[in-house]
Amino acid sequence: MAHILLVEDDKLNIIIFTKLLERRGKFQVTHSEDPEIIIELCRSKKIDLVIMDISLNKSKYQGKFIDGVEITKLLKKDPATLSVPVILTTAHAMSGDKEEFLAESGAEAYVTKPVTDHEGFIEQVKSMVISNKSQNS
Amino acid sequence: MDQELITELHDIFIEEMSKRIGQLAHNVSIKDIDGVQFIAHKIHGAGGTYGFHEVSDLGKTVETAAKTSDWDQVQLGLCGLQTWSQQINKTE
Repeated sequence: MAHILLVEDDKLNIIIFTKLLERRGKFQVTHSEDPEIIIELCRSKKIDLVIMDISLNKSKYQGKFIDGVEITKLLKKDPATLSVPVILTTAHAMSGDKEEFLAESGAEAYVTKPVTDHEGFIEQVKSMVISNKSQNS
Repeated sequence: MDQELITELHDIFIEEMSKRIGQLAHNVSIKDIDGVQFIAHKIHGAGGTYGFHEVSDLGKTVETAAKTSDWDQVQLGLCGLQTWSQQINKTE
């Protein structure tokens, strides 16, 4: 069973994304907002994909507040974690935001919140997990 | 949209969103523009995922208005959210 790491600070989104991923995607889902745990899980090779909220308001790394773009940059800089695919999620919707966040973070994909196409979201996650597994096998 | 899941999570969403709208109203009353923007962003990001597109739209209106400190638009958006909350809680 593929294992998804959900990095999200919004209670409502944690609930619905977890249920969607578990029930419709048949994924195992772990949630964390702690950058140390996120990095450690990704290093452990147990994570097949990360869904990363950009706007995190409680996450601290080395004593400083950090957002999803910065956490993704850390993952992409580390040879042990750079191959784990990351989907950024955010409700930021200004023109150009998507390209800027992807370029800055190194994430593979971006999903705009609210996520209204549940089936499409699950299919995207499945597709990226399968693609990553076949590239790394 | 996964209707079965939406139905299952309906009550959780209504309860949590009512709290957020209350928090938004408080932030507006004390003119905490950063707090307004923060809560509005959360409302915008969650509403449509649960099938309540109008909630996301109103949250986005408030969030956008907060970025330019347009208190008139913030108040309009807040009124819209409060009206939605009153109506949805009446039908519960």
